[in-house]
Amino acid sequence: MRRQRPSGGKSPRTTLVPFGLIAISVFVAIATGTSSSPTEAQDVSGADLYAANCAGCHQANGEGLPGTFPPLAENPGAADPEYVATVITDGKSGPIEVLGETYNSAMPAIAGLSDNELDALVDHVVGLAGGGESPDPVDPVDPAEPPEPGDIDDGHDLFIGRNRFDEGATACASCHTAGEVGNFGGSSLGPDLTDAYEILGGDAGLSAWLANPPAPTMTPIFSDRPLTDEEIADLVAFLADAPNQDRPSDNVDWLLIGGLSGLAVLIAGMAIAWRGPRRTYVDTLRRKQ
Amino acid sequence: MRVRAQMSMLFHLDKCIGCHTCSVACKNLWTDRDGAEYMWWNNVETRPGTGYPTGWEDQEHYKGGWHRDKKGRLKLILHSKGGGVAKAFYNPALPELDDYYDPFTFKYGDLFSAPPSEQQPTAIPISKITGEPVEISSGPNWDDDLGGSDLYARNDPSMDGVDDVVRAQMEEIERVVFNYLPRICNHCLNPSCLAACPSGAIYKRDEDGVVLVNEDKCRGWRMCVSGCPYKKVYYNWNSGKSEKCILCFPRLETGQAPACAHSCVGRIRYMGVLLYDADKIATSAALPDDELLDAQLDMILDPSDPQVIAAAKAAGIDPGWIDSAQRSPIYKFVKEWGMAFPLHPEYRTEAMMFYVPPLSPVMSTIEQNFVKLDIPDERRDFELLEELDKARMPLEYLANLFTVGDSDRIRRVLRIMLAVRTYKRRQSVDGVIDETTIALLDDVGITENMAEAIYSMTTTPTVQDRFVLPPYHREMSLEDVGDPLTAKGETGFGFLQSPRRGA
Repeated sequence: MRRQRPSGGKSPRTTLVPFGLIAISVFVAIATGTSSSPTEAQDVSGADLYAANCAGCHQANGEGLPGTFPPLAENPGAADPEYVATVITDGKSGPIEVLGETYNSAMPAIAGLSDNELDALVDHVVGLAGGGESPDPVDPVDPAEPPEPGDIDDGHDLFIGRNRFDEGATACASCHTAGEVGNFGGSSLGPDLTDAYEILGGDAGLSAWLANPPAPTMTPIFSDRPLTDEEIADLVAFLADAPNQDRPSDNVDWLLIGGLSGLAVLIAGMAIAWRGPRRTYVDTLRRKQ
Repeated sequence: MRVRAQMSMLFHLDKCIGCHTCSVACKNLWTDRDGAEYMWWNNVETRPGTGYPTGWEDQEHYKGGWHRDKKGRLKLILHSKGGGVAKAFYNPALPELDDYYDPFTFKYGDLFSAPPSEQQPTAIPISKITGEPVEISSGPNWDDDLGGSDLYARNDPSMDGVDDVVRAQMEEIERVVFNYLPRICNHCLNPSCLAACPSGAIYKRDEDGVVLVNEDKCRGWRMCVSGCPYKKVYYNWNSGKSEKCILCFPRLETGQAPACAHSCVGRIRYMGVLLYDADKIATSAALPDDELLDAQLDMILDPSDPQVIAAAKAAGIDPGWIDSAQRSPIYKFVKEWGMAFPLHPEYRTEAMMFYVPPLSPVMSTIEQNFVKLDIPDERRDFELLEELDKARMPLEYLANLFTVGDSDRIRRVLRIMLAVRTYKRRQSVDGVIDETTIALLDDVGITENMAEAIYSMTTTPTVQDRFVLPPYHREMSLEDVGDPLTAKGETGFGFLQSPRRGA
């Protein structure tokens, strides 16, 4: 049966409220002369985009991290706009030789850039590499205090979500697994992070990655909910230790044995409780005689 | 007042000869199929006895029907709502197949294919389920005609309350007594099978009150099998669905009486429409035991009452049905003459099949190796009438079956039947009806006209008298669903979908 909409429950006034709010906000926007669309062409700043998407690994002025993330400054490859655009949109991984040094790490594709934004970003990178116009100098970031070494256990708790991240970001185990995180492991939605410490370049590389995760699925989650320095240090310590931990499969035997013995107890109990076939009514009558 | 119509059947037990023609007609028509071999939608039991399935009346064992809890509310005996969930996968109140019987046939092929030998070939019994040879040890009528048997008759649950001396007497060979009890689904007004079904597959048809299982919705939980106190819902092991008596509704819709009634040799069965007040179902089923029967009979409305007719028309009941209800033989027996009762009203399902209780011979004694009746020869009719307590079949037993233990009601009905007999005997044998006979009719509370009506409806009814079937107007219902001429000129109605396990 089709359910009928209850009539007369909602007054016309309540349905008009949202329209009223929109009208008011439009009026306010016009009156104050502000624009509600910040992504117009003239507003795109290559430097800002670089800071948001690239500086985490390649550092503020493209100097890179020695041995982990290649530099962009003075890098002849990065002076080619087409090459730079390809790497930004497609990502890059595998061994690469820059200025006589070999790097072996992974760069994810940077998704969600408009054509204007891509052009601005490419211009900025090419500028850093010494091609085209010289880019606006970026204020050097204050040299961070050397982070205190993190705690492996705290990192584990953060990873599996036992302790929440201060800014409310999703626990790592929602998508990833790494090392020993419980008998059933973490999630297999994202890559296994057991070797992430090595791949992403140790303390410095991993810290930089975590401070501003550039992976396309992680960016929208973590851009508004950044990890604190302490959290990053703890996670780095945990992930550094991950390859040394027991693999989850080592503990599954215990589960199997426990389950089987529980089943045996259950079946034995049923065999005792319901011994023999059920008696028919005539049998019960004969027994009464 | 909310008027509804119910197709009811009446069994005149005083006429039943226990020939099982009804059972065979039903079996041939409906349950001669895989998975339905053990089902007898219609069966005839010898009473006193334990019936089929064995001991079905023992609700402590089978947990069918309703009971009235301490607060006066109506509850299923089977389980509470929570208990039903807990026992969903293990229902301990189900009858075993052996409580029905392992259906068997005989290997007739051996009679023709046996090699030549010294002995005659025999047809050995084989199970209809496995095909393997079986030793037959029970059947749906295993205690047929075994009145006084020490296993079956002695353990009849309805013998509770009968005096121990009487019970002992009933096991003496000279005093053995039995009568027959044909049973079909009672198409109750308050069906506990319907209430117990977790899938909502059972429903009561609006137009004629037939209780049916929707084979497409049935999921084979079998709560209906244990929920029905009459054990008249059966589980089909082949289709994985429950099945039950359908009151031959395809026959009713085409103006024919159900196969069991139509084939009845003793013409004990009557069919007709009853109008009842559906508003009273809930309250009348929850009354204390001694008020149950009156409350149920009070629900049946007088189809000639102008108010009832108006209410019935307002409820959308076809005028043809109202006319049919006015001519219904069931209404006459149940309401006008008060001679028929439902089977086990204490189950609170408000069964709508009615029974006229049977007469039985008077007790006899043995004197000098001669069987001697316990009453003087002169005016024997009147003696029996006055001394019904000497009838072989104890009134308490019949009262346990039909009137929640009220034997006065049974006594009244038997006295009416005896009075009608005496009246007609005076009329046809003596040719004169004397004052004493008229006084006798007065005494049992009927008039001469009523006596004639009871007589003709009992002994000489025509098919039209016994089966007053209402016009179903299926052609009109079909037009509501689609064009009735869709299949005109075609060779069939297309493919029927057979019910499948888990479908």
